[in-house]
Amino acid sequence: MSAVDVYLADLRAAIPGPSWTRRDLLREAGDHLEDATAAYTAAGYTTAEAEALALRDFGSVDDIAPGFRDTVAIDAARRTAILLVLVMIPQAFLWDGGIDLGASAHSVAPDSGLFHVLDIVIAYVGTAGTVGAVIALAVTAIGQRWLPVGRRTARLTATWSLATAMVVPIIGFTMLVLTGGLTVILALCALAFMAAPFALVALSAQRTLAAC
Amino acid sequence: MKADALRGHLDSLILAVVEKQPLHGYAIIEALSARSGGELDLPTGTIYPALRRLEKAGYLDSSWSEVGGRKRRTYELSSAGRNALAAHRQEWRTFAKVVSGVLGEA
Repeated sequence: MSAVDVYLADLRAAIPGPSWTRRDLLREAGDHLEDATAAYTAAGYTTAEAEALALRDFGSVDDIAPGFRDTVAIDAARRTAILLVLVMIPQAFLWDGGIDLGASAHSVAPDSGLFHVLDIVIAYVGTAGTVGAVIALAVTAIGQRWLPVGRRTARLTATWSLATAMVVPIIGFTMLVLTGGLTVILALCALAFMAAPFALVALSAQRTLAAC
Repeated sequence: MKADALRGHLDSLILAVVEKQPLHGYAIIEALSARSGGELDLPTGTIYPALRRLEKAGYLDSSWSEVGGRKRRTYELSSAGRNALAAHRQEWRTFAKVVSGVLGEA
């Protein structure tokens, strides 16, 4: 195992989180070190000397890893925000619009104080979740022109997404149960259109947190 | 010149070296070193997070292309990056003129 291989393995170990961005970054780092080693070898150094010089120029793992970690975490946060937006947008259509799952369970909303409270809460939580995801999406992309975006932003995005992904389905299922008209078909619809998509958001948020 | 002194300027320096043609990471480092007369002293590994940040900010476009028989991610200036570079150049000229006007009086 060459010194460059050892270095790249150490760098990989120092960057937790989703593998796709990390893989790209490490590939670029590997290409760079290969080029730098070749340049030093062409200048007359032995392979071992050339690798040592290339690694010295590149920077120690302690110096380089924080920047790579920020990049991986921000990319993961951006993906989570995109996913949350994509999952949230059809929810209004599913519940209040064309499909109207709530009315399918019961044509008239139950005369329950809890149901009405949850109806208001889910509207606010849904709106806040969507707006937060759109802001996070903007900040982790074009927002980097003006704002210092790092792991703190990624952590905030992931926490926000995770909370939304847990609260909305719990309230949604509770409301369906409160209608008193929950059938197997409706339960399966809720699983397919609500629980499964939000589970993906939660998984993505957890991966983002792991990268922070 | 140390990395601390470059803070806030690295992004513009990167945009400047890819202004004329798309370059991959190592070539960008080489161009930075050549155009600074070897005075830039920063760990070369720090360039990759900066490149990714500039790409996500819309200042650079990247694509994988074959360079020297190997697949490399190459970066080129986007139109937004070109505008940002022009704006930074103007700011820098004004800043340099002001500072030179004061420091040059010794």
